[in-house]
Amino acid sequence: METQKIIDLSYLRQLANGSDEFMQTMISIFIAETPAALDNMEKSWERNDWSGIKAMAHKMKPSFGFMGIASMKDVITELEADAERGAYPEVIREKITRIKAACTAAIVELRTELKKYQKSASRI
Amino acid sequence: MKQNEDVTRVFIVDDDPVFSKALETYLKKEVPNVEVASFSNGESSLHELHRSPDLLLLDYRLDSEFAYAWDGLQILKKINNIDPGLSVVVMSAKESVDTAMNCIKMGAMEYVVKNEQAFPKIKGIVSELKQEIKEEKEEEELEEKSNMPAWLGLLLLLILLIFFLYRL
Repeated sequence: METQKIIDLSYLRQLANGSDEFMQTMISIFIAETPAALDNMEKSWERNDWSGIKAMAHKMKPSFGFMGIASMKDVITELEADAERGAYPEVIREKITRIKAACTAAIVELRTELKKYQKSASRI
Repeated sequence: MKQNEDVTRVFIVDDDPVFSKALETYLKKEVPNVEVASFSNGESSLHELHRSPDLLLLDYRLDSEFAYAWDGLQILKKINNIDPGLSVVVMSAKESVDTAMNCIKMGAMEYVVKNEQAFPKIKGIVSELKQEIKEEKEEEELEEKSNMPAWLGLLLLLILLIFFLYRL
């Protein structure tokens, strides 16, 4: 049975308009930047820094759109709103955990995609 | 003074490297004769305004490693003081009519929500601006040309006057 993919790169491919270099650049940046952003989010939670969480959620939102992580689109928007209105720490924590799990899975999938693009580039 | 007058120079000011790089690569690919420079904070973009950008794409919510970094609106105010003619588009992941209105009131030419339509919309803005610049340039050239006979007439008159005075 095929497992459901977290990412959907169709929008990114549409933007790339056939450029594998664009795809590689975008995927590489997401893989490089996302773990640090998630770490910052967790550190902000530990400090009860809700404005920091709000800022990080706001910043990550467009990247989720590029990588087609549709399952987390609403979650990250809700997290931003929760942080803004000062929701309970458990509510915030639960969303951060879900986002982190989704991003970790997305990064695994993106690494596979990146390898495909690198292989096809080396063939040229 | 720009080295190549046909090039449209765009500054992207955004602390999100994924969005910033994507937009830079997209614009370079989709819009002909465009030069794009990206800045992760507003302060560094202000230092480079002497390079005369035609358009500045400014993130509304700017975080920075600097403790007292300015956000998008503060940068917009600074730009209004330094170069009031510069076209600024404010970009934000937040879809808010109030924020958009506020940005327009403060002098932004447009407010773009960072969603799936953002890139094509920004491409449209850059293309329109490029066309406007081209038309302005053509108008200026036409004006210069239409002024030529007046200058020539004046010159002829001057030559005749010198000739007449010389004969006297």
